[in-house]
Amino acid sequence: MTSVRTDQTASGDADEAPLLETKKLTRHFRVGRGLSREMLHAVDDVDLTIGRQEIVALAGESGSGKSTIARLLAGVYTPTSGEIYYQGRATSSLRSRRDQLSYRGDVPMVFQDPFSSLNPAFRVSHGVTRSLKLHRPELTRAQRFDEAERVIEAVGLSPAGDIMHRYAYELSGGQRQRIGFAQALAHKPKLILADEPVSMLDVSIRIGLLNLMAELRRSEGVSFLYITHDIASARYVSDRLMIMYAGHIVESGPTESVLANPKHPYTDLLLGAVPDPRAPLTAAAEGDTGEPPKVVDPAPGCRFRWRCPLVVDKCHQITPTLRGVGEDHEAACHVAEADAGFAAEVSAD
Amino acid sequence: MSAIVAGTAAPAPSATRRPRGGLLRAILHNRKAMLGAGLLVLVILLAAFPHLFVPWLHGDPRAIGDLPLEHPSGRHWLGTTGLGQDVYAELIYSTRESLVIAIVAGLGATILSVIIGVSAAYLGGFADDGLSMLTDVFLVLPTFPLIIVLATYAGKGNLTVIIIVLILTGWSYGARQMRAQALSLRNRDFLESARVRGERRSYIIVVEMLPTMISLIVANFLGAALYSVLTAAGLQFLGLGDPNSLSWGTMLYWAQNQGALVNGLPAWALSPGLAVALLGVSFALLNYAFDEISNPALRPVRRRRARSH
Amino acid sequence: MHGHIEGKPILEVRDLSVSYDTGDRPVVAVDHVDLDVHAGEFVGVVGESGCGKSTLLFAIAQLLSSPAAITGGSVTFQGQNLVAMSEKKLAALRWRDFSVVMQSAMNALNPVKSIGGQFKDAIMAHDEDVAEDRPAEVLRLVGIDPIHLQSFPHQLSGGMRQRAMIAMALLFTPDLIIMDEPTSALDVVAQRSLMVQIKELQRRLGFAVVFVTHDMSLISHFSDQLVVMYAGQVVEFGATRAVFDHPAHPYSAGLLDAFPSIRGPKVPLTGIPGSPPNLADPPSGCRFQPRCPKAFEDCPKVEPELYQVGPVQARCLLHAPGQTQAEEPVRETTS
Repeated sequence: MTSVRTDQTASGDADEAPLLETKKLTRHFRVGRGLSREMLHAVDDVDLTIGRQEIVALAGESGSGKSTIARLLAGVYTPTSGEIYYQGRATSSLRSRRDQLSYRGDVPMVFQDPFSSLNPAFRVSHGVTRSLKLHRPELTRAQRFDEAERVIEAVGLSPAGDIMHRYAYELSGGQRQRIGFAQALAHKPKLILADEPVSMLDVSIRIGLLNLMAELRRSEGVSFLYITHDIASARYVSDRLMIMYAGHIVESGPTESVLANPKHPYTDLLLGAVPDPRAPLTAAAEGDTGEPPKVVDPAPGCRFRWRCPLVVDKCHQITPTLRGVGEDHEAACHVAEADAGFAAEVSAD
Repeated sequence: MSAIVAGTAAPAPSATRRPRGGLLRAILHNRKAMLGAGLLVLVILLAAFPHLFVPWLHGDPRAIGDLPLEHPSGRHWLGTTGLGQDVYAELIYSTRESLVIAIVAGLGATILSVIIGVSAAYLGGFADDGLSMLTDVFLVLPTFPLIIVLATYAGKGNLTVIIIVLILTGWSYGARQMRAQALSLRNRDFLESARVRGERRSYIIVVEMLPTMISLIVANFLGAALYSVLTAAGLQFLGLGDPNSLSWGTMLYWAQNQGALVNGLPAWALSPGLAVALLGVSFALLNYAFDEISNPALRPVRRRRARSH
Repeated sequence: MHGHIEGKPILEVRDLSVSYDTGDRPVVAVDHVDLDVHAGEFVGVVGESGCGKSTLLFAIAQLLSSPAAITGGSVTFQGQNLVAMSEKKLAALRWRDFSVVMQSAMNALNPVKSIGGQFKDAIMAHDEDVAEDRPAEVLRLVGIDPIHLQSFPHQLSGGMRQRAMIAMALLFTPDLIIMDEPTSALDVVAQRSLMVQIKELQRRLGFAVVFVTHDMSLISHFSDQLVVMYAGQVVEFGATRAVFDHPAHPYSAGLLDAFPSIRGPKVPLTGIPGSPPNLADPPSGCRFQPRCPKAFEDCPKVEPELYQVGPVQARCLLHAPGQTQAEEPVRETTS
């Protein structure tokens, strides 16, 4: 069944609108020296949606643009073009400090590097209490202290009273990342942007944090955008999966669907390359040296065409966009789309 | 939800660990720090309570005495000047002015370098370009000739002028360092985290950034103080200070002026110079020690040959 | 020690210990480690941060600098003890008979010299008679167009840089190449490609490899022998498949379980609670016991040795002779 995307503007009713939605989100960076006008297309025409109490994984390799998306959503970068809608309202319309603070309160970010995400000059409770001060101004000092303890317990650090008074260097990498989550929780957030939160942790500790994310989704009702390069962890924790390549989202859908039935050749390549100790070695793509391109002033056409085993003429001329290829499953590939259309025709007979 | 117990084992100490309550202990364990601190403490005592070290003196040490150009003796430990003043007493009482110059000029230069350096790094863009150019201009100016010219024209002999001139010529070196470190900090996640949290820029610079730069700022201060001590002494020696003031540089001026060495009175000529050097050494030692304490990688390593068969 | 590889090992590490002299207390980073590498064998050394695997590697290559130093044991390479050797004799061996590939090519390659220039430096440093076009030849071996001899490191992509490092290590066709996490800076597709390439080169040229990594999942398809390290000690080793299918040490089992699978049923995992110990003050008895799900009362009291458990050896009291045999976890392999 082909699902056709209707071109809709963001719905005005906050209850019906998805929690966060982007339309044609784009971010370019000027590169080159001096007066160069070359533009690096970090993110191009990205449409994504995140619902309530949902964990969405955004997977891609380095240079795919996934971290840029996180920073666009966090307000660190402003979009070159396109729009972000939070609860139906465009973020570009949030001008006053109050509005901006409110958005930042609802959409905090957890960073990748446990060794630089906490200020070494302060105790680890510093970030948590500052978050509380900024986003829950109604609390008194004593209430802030209690709440800080509560969120630190909620991320599995015990005894919270003791941990709060330590400095960053006294905690392990895993503990520091948990503090990062505690800082986000202090906001009473709706959506947590997690930018590769476990990539720099030891393998045996990662699972604990991934479980924490699932638990927080359940107990605090918060959504996650989980950005990662590790498909296996994306599968473990997410409901929906988006695959990014060279600034575009190339496939999107429920995690199990995308993994069981990848429609985009890049997804296929990615899955084939993931080592799984329990499964025998799958054949590697011949001659693929595995380097995603740096996209500077690109010509139209699919950015994967140089490495794609299914490439046809159309791929060199028209940039594919996300189209339905299955139930709630989309891919940006001319060949996949044609197949899906064909399959629909065949089944309609 | 099961609360996973935070690692009960203490994690491996990271290389960037700074001793907190252990600062005193760290100083005590470091030989350079002990020596430097000891010297500095001595100088401070001399400056604060000079009369304790020259108990027999009543009145101004600059008071003209009866026995000019005396060799060191039981009465005058370092001899007397051309005007019969006791060199030793002058030396001790001069400590105060020299120390004041060092600290005030040092602080002024440091504050200026922090403001300019950190702003340049944080503001970026044209502001950064402009401030960096300003820094570079001051950096390449030939300082000593400039100081001489400024001091001569701006008011010979005025202590305030000397201090201002020292600050103006001493800030640029530190500003470069501050900018470099602030730039490297800009990419640290905790600053971005503060930004994403919604903190204002001014808050981020003052509360989040500066405290992590403390060791560089202190090191800068020690360097600027050292620079000030030496340069001030140089200026006064050249006669650009107040010839009636009580300071080591002025002593050197008079010693030269009245031919101390020619008259066979090396104690008079050398002792102020030695005093300047000692104060300078104490700042330098503290500077090295501070580096070593905050960065364990710089600590001297006791080498042990490993023999295995 | 291993039944599956015949012949005398080209590298024998016996009882090797390395300490960091950090003032308060020496930290024992590598504690009495034994290791055998046979000709043409691919040995994977796996462990998490702080386990000592990189230190072990540097110790074998005699590249330690103070405050780290070898405090005991021997490293016998082709019959000669490297630890007791003078710098001069070591220099003669280096790169010709064994070479090293570092973790980050961007840090290991000279950024202001062309690739060809650096190869030439290496050749000249060893005064060896090599063919004029050897640099081009080794680049071709790793799948890089020889035109890149004129390129600078920053002009190459990450994957290419790592390959260039490996090419440089192959200049004199050594018998042993030591690799310190050469793939961790790469993305998954490039990683896979590089591993396949290394394996292919190994088959063609016959050199042995000691490969240090934290990614157990990756190494599983490429190594012949697997060594698992924890807190400075070897806690398990054996043929790779044997370790994977029947991990005898609870840490190895826990580590394997910490990798979620992309195929097969989705199961909740627990990882290993707690964190690695402080090596300046390790736990008494078995170093893993504070985190071990199978610890019993002897564990904090007795320091376990390496015990034979079927085809592998494991440092766990559960397998000490005389201990009531515990159920060996058998891993399900999905076909």
